[in-house]
This record gives sequence, C-alpha cells and structure tokens, in this order.
Amino acid sequence: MEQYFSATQKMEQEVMFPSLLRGVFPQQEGAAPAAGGHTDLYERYQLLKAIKPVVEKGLASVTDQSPTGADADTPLDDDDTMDAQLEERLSHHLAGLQQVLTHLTRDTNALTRRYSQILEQISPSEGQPSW
Amino acid sequence: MEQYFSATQKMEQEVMFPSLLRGVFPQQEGAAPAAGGHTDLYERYQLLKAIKPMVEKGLASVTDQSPTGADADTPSDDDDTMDAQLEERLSHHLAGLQQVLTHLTRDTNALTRRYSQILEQISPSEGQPSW
Repeated sequence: MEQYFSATQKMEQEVMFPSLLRGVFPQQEGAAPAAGGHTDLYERYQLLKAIKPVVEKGLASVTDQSPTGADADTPLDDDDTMDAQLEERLSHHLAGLQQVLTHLTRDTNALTRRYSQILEQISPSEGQPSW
Repeated sequence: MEQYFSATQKMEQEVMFPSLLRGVFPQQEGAAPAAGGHTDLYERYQLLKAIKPMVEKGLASVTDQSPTGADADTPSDDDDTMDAQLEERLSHHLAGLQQVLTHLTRDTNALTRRYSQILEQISPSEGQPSW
C-alpha cells in the first residue's frame, strides 16, 4: 500500500504535462505499438489518477478507527453457512486486493518512467533544455 | 479493523475457560436453541481464533512498507481488459473485506458477551464466586 501511494505521488509530481502522453502506447516487445481500440498512456494516466481516491477511501474505511454499529448489542447469528464461508471470503478479498494494488503500483511506476523517457527524447540531457 | 482487533483481543482475554462454551448454541428469538448440525459457541470460538492471524497477516501484507518487485523495470502491460476491470475488482474486494471484518467483529463481540452471561449464570454477582 505504501508503495502504491508513493508511486502515485511520484507520478503526480513528475507528470507535469500529461498531454505529452497522448497517442503514446505501451511498448510491446519486438512488435510495433498496437493502435486502434487500445488506451493510450494519457487515458491510463487519467484512470490511475481517478482510481487513487477509491483506494484511499476504501483502505481508510477498512482500517478505520471510528466506532460503528458493530459493537451494538446484536445477538449471535446462527448462521453456519456464513461462518464456513468467512475464511474463504477473507482470503479471496485479501488476495484480490493485494493483486490489484500490485498491478496499480506497477502500472503507475511504468507510466512515470515512460513519461521521463518522453521528456528525454524532447530535451536530451546532453543539450540545454530549450524552454 | 481496529474494532476487529480490539474485539478479538477482548475475547481472548475474557474467555478464560472456552470449554464453558461447549454445547452452547446461539440464541434464536422465541425458539428453542437449534441443535444437531449447528456449530456451538466453542467451535465458533476456535474459528474466530484461527481466523485472526489470517486477518493480521493479510492486512499487514496489503499495507506493507517493504519493497517488492513492483518497482522493477517492468514495461506497462498493454492490457486494457485488466485496466477496465481494475476499478471494479478494487471496489469488490474493498467492500467484501469491509463486510467480512464487520461480520467477524460483530460475532466476536457477541461471543464474548454470551460468555459473560454464562459466567453470570454460574456465579451470580449477588453471591461470592465459588472458586
């Protein structure tokens, strides 16, 4: 999670001109960049930015410290089906969450790197920046 | 999450004699306690105890601060299907996790309360405890 947050923070700090990502497609090994129907990095950037508050809010909600109704004087459910499934559901959601976060972190880091490469192409480090 | 952890901690501190929960079934309103095929509170106690390290480990893993391979120089996946599904999967897992934690917390609190009730029956507060 920490890695996810530093990755998105880094992306937001470094990608100063997101429009530079328009029409840039993820590189595929040994093949020409795919076009037509695939999202370019600009769209991916927008998606990653939009998803960040969803992650923050969701994780805050899961790790919250504020009292909810869970402490109310509710009787025990006689719900064995739920009990048996609880462990399964827990594993499913924890693993799924871990997977999604890892994927998002990787994509975010890769996008930030690609952006830096684009900047390098525009303004090679051996010359002076022209703006 | 904090509530879940305090609930389990409280349960582990208070339930000194888990065997007192044997043959005790969750109370159903206005009906005799169900028997035969239903788990008693002793079994539920064991389940809740067993599930706790899973929750701890899983959540620690999701909120981890240690570096993993996500920062490796991996190219962006040109995986639009994955992108479109990411937000959905994220919501699904966050909501599911929240639900499971709430359920576990509620069950844990209810079990601890039921145990206290049993203690009261054995050793009513108007008399001296007999051990």
